[in-house]
Amino acid sequence: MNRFADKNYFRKPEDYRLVSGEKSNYQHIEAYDKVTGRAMYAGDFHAPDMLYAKAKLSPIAHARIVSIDTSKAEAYPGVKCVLTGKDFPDIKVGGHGKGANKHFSGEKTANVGDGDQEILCKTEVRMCGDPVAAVCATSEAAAQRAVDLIEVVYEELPACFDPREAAEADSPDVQGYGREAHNFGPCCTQLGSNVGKTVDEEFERAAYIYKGNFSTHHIVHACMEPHACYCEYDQHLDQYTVHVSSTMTYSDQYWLARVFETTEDHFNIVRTHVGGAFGGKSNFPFIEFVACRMAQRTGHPVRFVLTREEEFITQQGRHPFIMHVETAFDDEHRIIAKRCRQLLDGGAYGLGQVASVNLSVIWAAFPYKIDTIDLQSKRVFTNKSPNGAMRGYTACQVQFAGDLSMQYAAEHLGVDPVEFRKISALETGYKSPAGLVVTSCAFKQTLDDAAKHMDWVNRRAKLEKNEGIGFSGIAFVSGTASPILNTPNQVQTNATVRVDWNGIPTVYANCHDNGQGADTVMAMIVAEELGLDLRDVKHAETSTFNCGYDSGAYGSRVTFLGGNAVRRAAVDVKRQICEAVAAKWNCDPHLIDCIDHKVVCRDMGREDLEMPWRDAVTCAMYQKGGDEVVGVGSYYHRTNSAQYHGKPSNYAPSYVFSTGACHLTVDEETGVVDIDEFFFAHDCGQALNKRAVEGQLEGSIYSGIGYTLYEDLKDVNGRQINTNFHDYKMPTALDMPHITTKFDYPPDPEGPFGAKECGEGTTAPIAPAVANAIHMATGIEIHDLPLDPEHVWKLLREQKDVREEKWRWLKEEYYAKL
Amino acid sequence: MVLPDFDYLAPKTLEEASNLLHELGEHAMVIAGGCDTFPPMKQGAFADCQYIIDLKHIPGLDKIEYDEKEGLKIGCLVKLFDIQTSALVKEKNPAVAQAAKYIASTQVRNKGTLMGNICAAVPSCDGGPILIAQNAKILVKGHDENRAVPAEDFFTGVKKTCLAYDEIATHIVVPPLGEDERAAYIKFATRKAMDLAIVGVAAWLKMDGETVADARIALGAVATTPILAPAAGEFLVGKKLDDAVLEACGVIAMNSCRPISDVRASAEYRRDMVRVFTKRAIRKAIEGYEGDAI
Repeated sequence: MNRFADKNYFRKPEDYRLVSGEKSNYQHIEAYDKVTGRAMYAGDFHAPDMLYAKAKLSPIAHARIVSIDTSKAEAYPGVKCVLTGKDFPDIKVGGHGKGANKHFSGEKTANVGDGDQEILCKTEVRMCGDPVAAVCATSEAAAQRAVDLIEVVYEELPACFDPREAAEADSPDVQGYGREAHNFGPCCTQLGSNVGKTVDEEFERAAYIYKGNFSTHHIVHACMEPHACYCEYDQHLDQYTVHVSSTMTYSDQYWLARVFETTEDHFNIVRTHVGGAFGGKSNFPFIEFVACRMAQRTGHPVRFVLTREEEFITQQGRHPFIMHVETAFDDEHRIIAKRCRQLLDGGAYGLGQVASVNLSVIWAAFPYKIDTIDLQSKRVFTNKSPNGAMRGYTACQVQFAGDLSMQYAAEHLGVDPVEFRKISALETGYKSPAGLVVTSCAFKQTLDDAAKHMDWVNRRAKLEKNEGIGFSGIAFVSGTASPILNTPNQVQTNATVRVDWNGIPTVYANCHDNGQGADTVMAMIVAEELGLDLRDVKHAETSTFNCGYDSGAYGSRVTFLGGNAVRRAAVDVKRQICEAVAAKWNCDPHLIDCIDHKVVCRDMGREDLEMPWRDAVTCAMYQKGGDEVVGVGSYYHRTNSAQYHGKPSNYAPSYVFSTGACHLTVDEETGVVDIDEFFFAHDCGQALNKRAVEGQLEGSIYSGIGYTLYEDLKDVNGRQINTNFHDYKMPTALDMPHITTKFDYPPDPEGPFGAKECGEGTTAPIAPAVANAIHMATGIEIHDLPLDPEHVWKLLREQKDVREEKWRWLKEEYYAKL
Repeated sequence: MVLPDFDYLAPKTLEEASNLLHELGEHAMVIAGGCDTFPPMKQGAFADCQYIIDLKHIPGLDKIEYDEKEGLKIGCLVKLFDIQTSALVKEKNPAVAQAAKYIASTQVRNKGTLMGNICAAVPSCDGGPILIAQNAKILVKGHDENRAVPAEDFFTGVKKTCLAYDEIATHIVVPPLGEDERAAYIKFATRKAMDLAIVGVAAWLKMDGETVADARIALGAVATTPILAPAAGEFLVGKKLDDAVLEACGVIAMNSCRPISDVRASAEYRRDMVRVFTKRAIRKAIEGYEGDAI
């Protein structure tokens, strides 16, 4: 049941019991297990005969492997298996898998084929941390000591670390694309106009053009749970059972089948608890392939858990960006055209690189109506750890540049920064020249709410020296168009709801819960549709063998796309039950509803007809000759078949809008920024679980503040130097400001019960809001991240001669005269 | 990430601990909370350690005492959290309570000790500057004789102290603050907890009315050990503490250290922060800790 779902059976908004109102405030159903330590993460699995795996990692950023001598490791007591690249076929992993590319509209400038990462490097290492060999042994200590005994001889090759240098003609070749490719991976350009003009023509007639250069730095996801894997192999069935810290288990299954040169039916990937993902667990880490191979060779279960340091150096981070932005405004201060050139530092491998360039071009126009665009992103390879999806995938970087551009333009034009953003703000019904269709949008309301909360109009000209208020508005996707793998009909999620003879519904949905509350929301959706309570709905522990496809927890898609599939499965159950009861009552099944643990009749004059839920289930089973009631549902979004194909094309089923605002003070002597208040207004449509939404928004502010003021992954010639949480700083609870959130905006027409994205793109407005407030407080102009104390101190010194004057101008001229 | 093999010894008396250390030689390590021992050990430090001698079973070393003449006496097993929250410490020498609170996090402070913090002797240790500025003494039990080491002489290098292999540091003694004496310590770090100092500055002042009669300024995280900046203290003597004097004192302190650039901060930034926090530490000493939620 898909787009053909019988929407007559959908719960009507006036009958909502669980998804709106005060009741919609649920603790995550797994919360108790997690806080008491009972929940099993991949690294918690254990068996008496289990072996521990460790890997030998490259200490060199770019080198040819001359030889690997594992003889001493093999002889070490307790070692059961030693692997090198020779133990895997010539198949590289990563990327999106087969069929993915055609759903993206990017240009191919070089080979962006499926995978580019070897499980264990055979002849060449491209970054510090590339794995070259692996050992498993009866203890972790023995495995580590054996790894230390492996002797690898390298011949160092020239390497490049700076993305600008990597893009030059004579730079070392990172991925073997050939010099003429200049280390470029995919490139994406969006050229278009809603008004039949070129960007040059629009720039020609512009009343004002703001031009600026911006850059952002390198950070990582820093999940509390590092990548981990536990694998068992059944040699009689030739079957692997894999517990892996992944948010894309069907893609894990796909890549395991490719690497083991067999079919998917040999890999049962269990959906375990995941201890934070933020996009970082949508990759396919070498540990799962290594653990499976070791389990196959030894017959023992194998556990492979990365240490924190290994997690830093082998896994992905957030792309550093170098951006040039030009925005043209007409004499009514409306944006008429935008041009940007963005260079992404990709690191040594592609990962989901096509998405990074495509998305970064989408964000460049967000959250504004820009009728004429020339937006371009290029991703280059460098000899550093790779960058991929991370909370607000490329939006945190691009919208930093976009929003600061708006702030500086507003000041130049003498318009209030909040009103200025509203002039060009996206609205419901807008179709961008890139093809994006906005179906619900409360961006202007979020701006107004933020201004009101901060008492902006009264305070803007009255702030003291070193005190500032900053705003930032952004937009993000709610789900994506691509199901990653080439599924039938491009379906994104297959869900099943089964009701047993006791009337107990169980939901089978492989929607990954990485802490965001997916399991809770899925149970809630089923309970709402069937007129039951959240606790009445049971969750099946799903795996790739017992549950339908779900493409994964990425792209802010789980609630929107997974939730819609689960809703359809629940409604399929409801339909069958209503039809059965209708036959008994002899009325139209569409006039029957499931509500408050009962099946009731809504036919005029027959409202007294009702039946307890369990009796209705029994009734349905009798009518079906004893068969259980099983509902299936799937979802993909396509309002018309051309929407996602060709150019221009839409990207997501819906879009979300946020405004972040903060008040802070800057210590002029030290550069310390102290945020005392953060307000966040987020248009997520209908919030399904207020507590989860609030938590996601607070978490977004947390990680946004980390990105802006604290976190900075540093390297010297590709070798990371702060690979622990002492030196890679994330804020503590003590460093967090007081937070107020607001998220009750109109529902989306397509989201489940009107819901949209929450918690990913919401990270993006933090950095620009903080930067704008620092700018207001001190007069310094900001173009680069991070804004940790030393960087702010440097800016304060560098701009010493102009900032005092600028600050005075802002206060006495600009804000005073608005 | 794996602890090496070692024998764990839990002596019941100081005498027994001292004998064990003497017999086992340099392959033995003493622990109190173990916070600066086991985490680095998992990363490969102290690779030649074969014996861990845990002092926690020795009675009497977990006391905070105060004597009008001697001052504050803190046993080597007193947890940082107990120093931070001790009414006695807050009354008699609040800067010491503040220094303890700056270290690590609440969780770690419930395990770790102030003695452990200074014995680990990292350049940024928060316990060092305030003890040096106040001319505290470290009581050391040797196998044959005991001694009292001025805090200033306790640190000899990065992660190195003056303790011989068979010596145990048992108490920290901070002289009493007279009515005209003031002390303060400020740690400057990026985070409010779980962080190492970019710089730490401690100030001790003896006032004669509005004029400084004597002063000691000590710095952390700007040299291989916490250090005294004698010139900065001497400069203040005989002066009234106006803004110009504080600024000049900050510059002297800044010029008396040669910090390094590392992953946490550049040398240039550290030097300037020494200037800033020398001023602030002196101001804080004068202002006092009353009303502060240490």
